[in-house]
Amino acid sequence: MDFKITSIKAGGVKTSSGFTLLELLFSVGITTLCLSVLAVFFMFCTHSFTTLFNYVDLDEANRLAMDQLTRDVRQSNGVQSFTTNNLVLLDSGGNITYTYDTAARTLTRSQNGVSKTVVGECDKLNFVIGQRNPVNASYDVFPAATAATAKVINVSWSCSRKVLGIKEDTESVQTARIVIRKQGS
Amino acid sequence: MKIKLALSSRPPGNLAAFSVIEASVGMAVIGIVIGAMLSGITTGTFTMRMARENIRATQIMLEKVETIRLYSWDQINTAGFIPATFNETYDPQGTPSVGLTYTGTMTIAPASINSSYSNDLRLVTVHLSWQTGSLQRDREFTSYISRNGLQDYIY
Repeated sequence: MDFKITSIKAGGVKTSSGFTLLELLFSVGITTLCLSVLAVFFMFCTHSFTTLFNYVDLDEANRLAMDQLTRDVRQSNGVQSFTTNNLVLLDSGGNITYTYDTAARTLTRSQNGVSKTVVGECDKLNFVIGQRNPVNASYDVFPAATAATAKVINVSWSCSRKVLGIKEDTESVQTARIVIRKQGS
Repeated sequence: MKIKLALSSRPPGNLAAFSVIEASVGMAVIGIVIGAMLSGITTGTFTMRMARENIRATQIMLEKVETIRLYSWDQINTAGFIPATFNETYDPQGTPSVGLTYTGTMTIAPASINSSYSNDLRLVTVHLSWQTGSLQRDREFTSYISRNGLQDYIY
């Protein structure tokens, strides 16, 4: 009679030996290194995705705001008053006021008692009002001394957000020169 | 009675470690995945940068064309009244201006239209050039302006 042993259960073999100190230190070192690399990679990915999201979100909001401001200026009857951070447009549907709040970092549009924040997280905003006469050998127009002579609205602003406490690389810059279409009286 | 001990040279599965080939393939797969993710993020960031610079270029060109409607017909046809070249920065409000520099030209040429009123038309072309990294980029905006068009309406 022939017997053939084809397998041996491992459970039957009990080992009593553990890791040596060198093995333990080596494995802990490798594990720490791997976790560090993973953490850095995770932070890099998170930062990148957040930055991309902020770019898209800021850009979308700012373009909508610029479109609305452009539409309001072009169809307005003129300018009632202006400063570098405030603009009041004469409009047949009720005067439209754009106000930049430096403390709140917002640009607000108001008409007929209804206010709406059109730009948020705005670091800088500047209105420069010009009249219709262009300057020779330049792309500029002469500045408007009074609202009555205002014809051109130059506006520029920039917004930003912080990513992990850092503001860099999350800005959105918008500039426009808008000419009031309505003929002056 | 004969008892043959037929044991595999490989230890049982629950005690076996990875072979060099298995470990190499695993590391290669992980490397490819991480490399693909990094490449995707880098490409996405670069694409976003190109799109933002493109939008800013559009703004600059529209500003130049928007001003055109303020010029009289004589001013448009006076050489040098409208400068042929200009430079703009990405962030003009920066102190000093920061970001890349756009170099542009504006040309006003006769309209190549076979019509009786072709002398009352001009073709305005705004050309903008800039660099994204080592990539040279160009954009152009063209429009016709009319002698009896918007200028008369505004003035």
